[in-house]
Amino acid sequence: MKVDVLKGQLELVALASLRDGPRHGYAIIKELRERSGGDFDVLEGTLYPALHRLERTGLVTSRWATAAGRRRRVYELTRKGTKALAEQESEWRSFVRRLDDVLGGTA
Amino acid sequence: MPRARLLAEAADHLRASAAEIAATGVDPAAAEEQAVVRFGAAALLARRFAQSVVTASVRMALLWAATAWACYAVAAGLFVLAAPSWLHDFPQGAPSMLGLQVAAVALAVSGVRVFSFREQPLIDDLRLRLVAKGVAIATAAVLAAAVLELALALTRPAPAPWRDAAPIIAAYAIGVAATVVAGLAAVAAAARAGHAELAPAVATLVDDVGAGAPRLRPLALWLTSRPLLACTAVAGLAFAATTAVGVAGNGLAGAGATGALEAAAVVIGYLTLGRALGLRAPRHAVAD
Repeated sequence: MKVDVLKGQLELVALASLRDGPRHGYAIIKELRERSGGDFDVLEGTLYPALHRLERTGLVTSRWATAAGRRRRVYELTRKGTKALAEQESEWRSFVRRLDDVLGGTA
Repeated sequence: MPRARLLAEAADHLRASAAEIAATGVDPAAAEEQAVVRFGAAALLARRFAQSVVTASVRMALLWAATAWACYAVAAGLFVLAAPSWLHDFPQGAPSMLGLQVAAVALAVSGVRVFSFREQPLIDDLRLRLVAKGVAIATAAVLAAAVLELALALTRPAPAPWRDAAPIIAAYAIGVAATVVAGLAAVAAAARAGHAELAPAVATLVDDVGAGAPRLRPLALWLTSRPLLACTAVAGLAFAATTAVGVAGNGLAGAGATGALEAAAVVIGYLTLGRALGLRAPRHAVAD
C-alpha cells in the first residue's frame, strides 16, 4: 500500500499514539504498524524529527526512562498536545468525510 | 537539539528493531541490516532534522527582526513627532527613514514567504534561505541606519543639549538593543540555512502571495513578470509621495530633491538587494 499520504500526517499519528500514555519512539512505530495491519510502514527514522518538532512546539514533553536495564527517551502528551490532537483529529475526520462524499458522488 | 540524544534514540531504536526481527528467526546480522533499512538512510534523516532546525531558527529570527523593526520605528516616529527643533536638521533622521524602508520591504517579502507555510511544520529549502537572507538584510539595514544616526549625532558642529532629547535617546537605545538581538538571531539562522544540506526546491513570490491573499496573485504575477516597470513605478510613486509631503515645509525644489533621493534609493535598493530577496531572477537564470 502506498502511504505517501501519511508523510504529512506523521505528527498526528504520533500524537494519537501517545493518547493512551507515555511511549518511546519504537513503541509508537510498532503500534502504527500493528494498528494498520502492516500497511503503514513509514521509514522509522522519520518519526524522530517529527517528535522533536512536537516537543519544540510544546505538544509533547520527553524524559529519559529506564526499563529492563535500557535507557529510553519517553514522550508524553501535554495539555496543549491533547487539545491539538482533538482539533487535528476532528479536521482529519471532517476531511475524510468530505472526500468520501466526493468519491461517492462520482462513483 | 542535542546530537547525543538523537544518536542515543537512533541506537536504541535500531537495537529494539533488530532484536524483534531476529526473534522471528532471522539471522542476527541480517536482522541488523533489515533494521537499518527500515530506519532509513542517514543522509535523508539528517536532512529532515536540518530542515526542522533551520525552519524553527528562521521563524524565530523573523519574529525578532519584526520586533526590532517595530522598536526602532517607534524611536524614528518619536524623532519625527517630538524631536527638539535643533535636532531636526538634515541629514539627521534620513538614514533611519531609508533603513526602515529597506527593512520593511525585506521583512514584508520574508513575512509573505513564511506566512504561506503557516500551517506546515517545515518550510521548503529555497524559501528558508531566502527568508534567512531577508531577515539578515532587514536587521543590517536598521543597524546601519542606527550607526549612521549615532555618527551624525556625535559629529554635530555645535554642542547639543542632549538632555532635551532624552526620551528619543532612550527609544533609540531600546531599538538598537532589539536590533542587536535580532542581528544575532539572523546570523544564526543564516549560518544554519547556509550550512545545512537541504534539498533543492522552487520558490516563487507569486505562489506565496497567492497562498496568503489569492486575490492579489494576478497583481503579484503582473509585477514580478515586469520587474523593471514595477521598480520604476514604485520609484515614481516614492518620488511623488515624498515631494508632496515635503513641499509645504521645504519648498518645491527642496522637496523635489528629497523625492529624487527617495526614488534613487528605491532603484538602488532593488538593484543591489533584489536578487538576495528573490525579487529578481537569479543570475544563472538570466544567463540561461
